[in-house]
Amino acid sequence: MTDFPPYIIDSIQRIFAMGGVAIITSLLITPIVTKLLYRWRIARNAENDPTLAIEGHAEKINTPIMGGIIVVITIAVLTFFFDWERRFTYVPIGVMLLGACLGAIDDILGVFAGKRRDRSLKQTITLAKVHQNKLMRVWYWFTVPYAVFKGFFRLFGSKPGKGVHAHEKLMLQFAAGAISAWWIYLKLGDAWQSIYIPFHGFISVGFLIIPLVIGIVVFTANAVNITDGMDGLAGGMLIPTFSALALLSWKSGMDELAILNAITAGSLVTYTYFNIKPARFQMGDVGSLALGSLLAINTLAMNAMAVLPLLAFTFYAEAFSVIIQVGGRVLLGKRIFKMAPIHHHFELKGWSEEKTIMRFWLVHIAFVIAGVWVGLH
Amino acid sequence: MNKTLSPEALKVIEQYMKLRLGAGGKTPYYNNRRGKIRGGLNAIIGKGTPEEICDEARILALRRGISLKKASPEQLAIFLVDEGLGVDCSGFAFHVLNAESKARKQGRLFSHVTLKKSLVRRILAKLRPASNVSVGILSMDENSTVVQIADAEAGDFISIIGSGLDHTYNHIMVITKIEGNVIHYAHSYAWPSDGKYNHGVNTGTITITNQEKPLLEQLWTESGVTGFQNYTYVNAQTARKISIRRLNAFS
Repeated sequence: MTDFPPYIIDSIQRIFAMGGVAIITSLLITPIVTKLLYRWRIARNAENDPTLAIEGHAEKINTPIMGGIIVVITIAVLTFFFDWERRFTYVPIGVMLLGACLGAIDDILGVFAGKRRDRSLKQTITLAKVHQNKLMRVWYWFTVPYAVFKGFFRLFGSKPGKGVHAHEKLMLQFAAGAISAWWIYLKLGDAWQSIYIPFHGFISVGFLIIPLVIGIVVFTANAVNITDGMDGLAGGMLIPTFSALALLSWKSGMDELAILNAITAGSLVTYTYFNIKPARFQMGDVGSLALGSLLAINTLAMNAMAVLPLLAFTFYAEAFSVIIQVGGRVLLGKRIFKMAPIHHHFELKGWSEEKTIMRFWLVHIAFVIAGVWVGLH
Repeated sequence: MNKTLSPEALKVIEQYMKLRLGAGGKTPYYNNRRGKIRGGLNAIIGKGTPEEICDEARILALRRGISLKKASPEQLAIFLVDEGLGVDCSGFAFHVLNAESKARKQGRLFSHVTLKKSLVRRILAKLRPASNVSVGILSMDENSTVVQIADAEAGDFISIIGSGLDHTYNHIMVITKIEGNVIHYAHSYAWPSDGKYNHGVNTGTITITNQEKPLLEQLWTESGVTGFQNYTYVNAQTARKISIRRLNAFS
């Protein structure tokens, strides 16, 4: 049997230990959070949620959302006390918390707020022309580009509801992506201005890394957000993804990042335990946007951008199914899928929720294994 | 001479007349002037095929938590109209003539249609053909030619341009069968007497009493009524231009 050097054994032990600590910590937090979510009735309501009409989904009404906050708190607290490292962990945690705040606002507004008013481009222009106050007229003209920006989202099916609107979400996610890009471009060093391509080597992209990072953070956060639509689906797929990231970051010698990934995987184990059908609580945007951002930035921090499509395969497939559905509607006037994201398409085709989730898990695990294999080269 | 439409085109009409939903029921008329939806699904902008309309109805029923399996034609009509599902006259004509074109081995109808639009608009129109082939487009000389009453065939269409009190409405009716001196047609339309829910795809006849006289001086019959009780005829009376036309592809 091969004898590994003690420092390797030490680092592996530490990574696994922190994963275990995360399971226990989140287990301790869970009853408190659950009680508060039930007490404050931060629960899923039937309004503006067509998926609840799918057979068997009605029982999800009144299930608390924001359960993902358990994972977010566990990751933030454990990292702060046991894995705080200026170079590799404080920005990922910052970006994750930014995503969590955005998600939390959306979740809370979705439950408690009234329907928000939304001024269309036509209304803005009319006000700019006819408002009795000259200053207000100037202001409305000033806001016309913003109204055009909003109108673009409406064209693609964004329906203004109670929570954060799609265009507002995108702007805040853009800010999270910009922070990530600033960190990677300016703080991590020249090596991160090149993309590592497995089997090939580094390709220098220079400042183009900035839009790439922003795009990947925004897209991945939304992909995880979109996937979080069935009991246990997103949680069960994030566990193998973050476990794989822990392995790959450890192999790259980034122990702090490996511990962060192990903590995330550990806390997700507890979360998913309570999230499988019938769910005690659901992740909510607070968890999905935070974990999506964290997944993207952790992968980028270890310069494994090229592996991300495999490690996040099913999340991306879910996101693309929504893009394809919207594209099909706008360009062709047809539904490509019975319902998007694609997990609902399979449900409407007759798969049970359990069957859909487990098959998605297995497909995802297969791609994660492929991603690890590629990432090790 | 084609006395009747091809079985494929007749099947499309039959599917519109009896949707595969619940106990069946005709497809309601969709007024494309009221529903100004940009980038919408064909089924909700009055341009859907019968299958698209049925699929969309099933999805909407699911969202509303109701079942259409046992819906009577009346219940179905209420559901479809309230959900904004239906077909307008040009959407109906497009899908019927498209089926006829394919049955005649002429390929897709759209490949024979000239649009007179910019390149970008033409590319976009290719993606959504049914939404871009209006009565006006089909009635252009580049796409169809006027035929005399005596020469009318199944697969021709009756083009009604500039009807209504303000002469801004266009309408199209597809000729489905020529039986002696009787022209059978099918179209999607709403009569004021149909009320909110009883309109949609329907059939009618024009009996040619004198071939020398214009179309409006023949006997129009629909839903068992003729003359000024027949609103299709009344509407046609107000048109600036009414003619039987044949697609150039079918000539």
